[in-house]
Amino acid sequence: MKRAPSKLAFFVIIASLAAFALAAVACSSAEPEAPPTATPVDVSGIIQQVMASQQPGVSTEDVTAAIQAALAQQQGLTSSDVANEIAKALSAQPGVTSDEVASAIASALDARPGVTTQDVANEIAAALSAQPGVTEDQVAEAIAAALAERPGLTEEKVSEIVAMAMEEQQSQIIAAVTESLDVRLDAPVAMATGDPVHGGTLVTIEAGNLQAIDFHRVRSIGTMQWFANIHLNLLEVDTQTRDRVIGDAAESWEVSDDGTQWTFNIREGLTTHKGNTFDSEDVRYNIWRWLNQPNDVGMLRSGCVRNTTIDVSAPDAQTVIMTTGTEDGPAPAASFLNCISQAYLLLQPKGIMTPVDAEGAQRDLDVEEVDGIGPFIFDEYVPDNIIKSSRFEDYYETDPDLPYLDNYHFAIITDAASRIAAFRTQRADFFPTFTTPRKPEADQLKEQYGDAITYVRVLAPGKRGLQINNTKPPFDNPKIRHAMHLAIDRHAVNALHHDGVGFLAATYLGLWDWIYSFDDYYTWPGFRSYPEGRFEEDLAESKRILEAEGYSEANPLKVSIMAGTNEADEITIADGLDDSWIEVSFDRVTGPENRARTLSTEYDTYFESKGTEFNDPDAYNGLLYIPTAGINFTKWQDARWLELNELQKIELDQAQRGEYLREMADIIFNEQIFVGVIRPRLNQINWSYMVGYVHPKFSHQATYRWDHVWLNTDAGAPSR
Amino acid sequence: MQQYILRRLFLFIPTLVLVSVLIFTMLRIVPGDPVLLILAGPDGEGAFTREEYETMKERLGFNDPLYVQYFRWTYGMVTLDWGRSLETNERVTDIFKRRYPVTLQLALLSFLVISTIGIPIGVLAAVKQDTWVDYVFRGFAILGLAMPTFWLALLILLALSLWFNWIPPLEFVNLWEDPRTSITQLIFPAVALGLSAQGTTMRMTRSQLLEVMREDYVRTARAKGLAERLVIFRHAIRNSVLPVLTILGLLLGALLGGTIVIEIVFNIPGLGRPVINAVGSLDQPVLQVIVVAFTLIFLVLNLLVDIAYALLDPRIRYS
Repeated sequence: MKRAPSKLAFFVIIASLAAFALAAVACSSAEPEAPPTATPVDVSGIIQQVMASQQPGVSTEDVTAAIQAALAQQQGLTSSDVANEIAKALSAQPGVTSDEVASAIASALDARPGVTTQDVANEIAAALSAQPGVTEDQVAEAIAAALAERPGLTEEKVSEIVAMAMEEQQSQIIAAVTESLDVRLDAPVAMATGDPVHGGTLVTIEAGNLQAIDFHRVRSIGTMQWFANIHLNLLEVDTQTRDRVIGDAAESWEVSDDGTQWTFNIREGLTTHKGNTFDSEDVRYNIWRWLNQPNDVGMLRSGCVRNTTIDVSAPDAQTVIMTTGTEDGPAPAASFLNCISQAYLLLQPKGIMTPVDAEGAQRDLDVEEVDGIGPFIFDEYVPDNIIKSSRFEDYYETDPDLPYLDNYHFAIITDAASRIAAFRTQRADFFPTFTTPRKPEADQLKEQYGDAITYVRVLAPGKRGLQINNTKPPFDNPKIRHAMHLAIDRHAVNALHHDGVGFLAATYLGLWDWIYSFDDYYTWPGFRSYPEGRFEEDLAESKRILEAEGYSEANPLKVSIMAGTNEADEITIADGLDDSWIEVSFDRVTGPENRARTLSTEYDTYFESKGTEFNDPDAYNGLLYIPTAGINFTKWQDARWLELNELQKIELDQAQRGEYLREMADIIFNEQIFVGVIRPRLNQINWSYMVGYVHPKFSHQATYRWDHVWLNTDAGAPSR
Repeated sequence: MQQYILRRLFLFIPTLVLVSVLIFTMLRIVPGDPVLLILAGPDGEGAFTREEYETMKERLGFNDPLYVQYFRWTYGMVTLDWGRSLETNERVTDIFKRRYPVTLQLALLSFLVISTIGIPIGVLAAVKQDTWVDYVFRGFAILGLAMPTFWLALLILLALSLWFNWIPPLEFVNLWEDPRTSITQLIFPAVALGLSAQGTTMRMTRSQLLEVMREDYVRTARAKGLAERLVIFRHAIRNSVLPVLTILGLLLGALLGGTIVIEIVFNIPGLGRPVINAVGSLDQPVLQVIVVAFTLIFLVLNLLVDIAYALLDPRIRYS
């Protein structure tokens, strides 16, 4: 017999629903109202007006006074706004020095109530550091000069204020870098605090053997991480701030007024691990090698040099001159500085390269032949086990204590579970930079070890998605390609294979908001499936296009995906395509076969994943889009796109360059040969006792050099 | 006996020839092109033209008739010029020379674990047949047989790291360089391998011993008033050990032939990784040499087992 629900149960349910409804109402009414939006002040506009009204030959003081007067009439301006705008306006003026800019900012801020001397110094540091080409030393000197005349301030006190301002600036930069890059920080980035401890052995993990010993042949980020400690770059993105280019083997550099000739002043007294001199001829030979690729050995990560540089010379032992240009002759290259400072352009001594570059010498270097000028000496290599290096006593750094470590070891552990075990037990201090643990594993480690480990997500920019063969019917029809693009559910790929932390592999990196930002891309058909999931309108549009081209549910478009290299992504993408009227089959091949088939364009589509190595859209153009690009196998080209590319390459004004690149992005989007899906965010993890390592913006672009790293035994570093 | 050994050694030749023909032919039948591997690289990054492909194919002799290629290779094998890995360009002899001693150490230690666990518990289970001792040891043996080696290895690694916050040192050290460190590195992989393989040995020892203990001569020995210990050790074990020896020979052959997965889990630089890589990338020179070398190892071990038969059982005479 069926039992009727009791009255008591009925009342309990009704009472619960009522309580829930009341709570919901209370919560919604408790929500604070959004503050009224303040009318934004157009500071740049004001300054531009002031500047435009000035006559030629007017002094800096007069310009500053005029700007101050204009700004004084505005409400709601912060000290930072004032400082930044003054710095921006004055720095754009020819002949204005950093000291004058600092002085102008100081006098403007002094007029504001409640602003202390330290605040003034901090604001000058922030504003000047944001200006291109201003070095850290120049900033410090400018602050000191601006404060020098102040009553009651001793020289010692000024130095103290300057030091504090510079320190504040350092932490601001790191905070800004991590914030602006949408990188989630679960723990503070390890900063060099306290007195470094000398000695010890740092052990990092890598998932595979060295790809080659002659570094220029290498594409692998893991191998780069090792050799970044054996060799130096010409310039590098500062490993301690990750936000500016500084000299490495070059002490300084200048560029000619027309922007075509770059002169690098090589440090004096550089010696190699084997005691040989390293000078401009070694540098010149490296660049010549990247340009000419002797013995047809592919130097896969130096394409940007070939795309920008037309000549290199070494007029004397300490000078190297590079000329940028195109087929038509010298021309500036907008991406040159980012290119030449990228981590993969490591300099090897000429002496070790000439034997393998000799005609017909088809061989890699032997380990015994390796020589370098980096902080560590390559000692031993046991494949599938360990690589060992030791401190180079004559390392160039001005601080004689560097590197702090006695040894650097590189443990090769192919199994993921074994890597975690090695990390847990502190046999190793740092996971691989690229083959990082998956998010659930990383989260579990974080939960278990808390602040004892540092866990940062780092973007791995580049291309990851489908390459469609635009030379093969019916894929030569852009509409068909567009229908395929629309059917891909990027949110699903991200959730299933990137643990929800991957990012949209758009036409260009969405962080370059001067082209298109991520938010812009999220509004584009197809790409808009990334944030929240399948956009039904896109799927419907995909079917509409296919229907117009003669396909239907009963007669679907048949697509073969040449697969086998990224199986997980391939399957989820196929699932998305299946939702439209597309029937997918897999053609599984090995890496080399895939290469052969792509080179001869014998495919419908295949999944491609490639990282880009420097922070500029030309990294994407060089890898993907130009006719000679590494993975533009069908040699796709578009006359308008090529024309724009020639313009953007030499355009030094970012706003104008952005305009060209936006149009280029639109063309590529409309063509849909390179269908972007999802790129990974990498879960970089190290023990927090590993001090002096600052996590990079991007995984590939970063130099992983351990010269500033030390192991803090007080924080639990094991003794090795 | 000497004649027998010589005859067996002579028979190695047709076996090796047959195996070499088989592996050589099979590697040329399976899909895949080694020239592509060289030009494109293992990750398929290198660019090349059709002309470069043809030139490389000609240079490596892949355009020659198969029999010419085969004889060139076998000549190289005999003269110890085993060629170079297509993937790493390293000499195959160097790969073998550097890595096989490592695999050998691990295999021998695992063999020790198998013998020292499998035989004693097999004997005990037989002697205490149908008691709780028998049930426990049989359960243990079946557990070992049922657990995949790689899974057991991962469990051991996980247990060590989570419960003891310790795993063996990462840098591999040979037994003769630092025996203590080397043993700490090898003992856990050896146990993982041994626990899985001891089951077979235990089951074989137990069943053989039970069979022998039902023989008339054992009953006679007991009737003579011999102590049970002497009956088992002097009469039963010696007569039951021959099939166990065969099993041990096969197990040792399998261990020497590769402890592939265990080497990867425990980060031991033996032959495991090159074998996996060679299979994945169709690295013909490496695969051919490894298969022929493993065949030779099995042949030698079989011969040693047969010789051991004669030493253990006076009734067996090779003439």
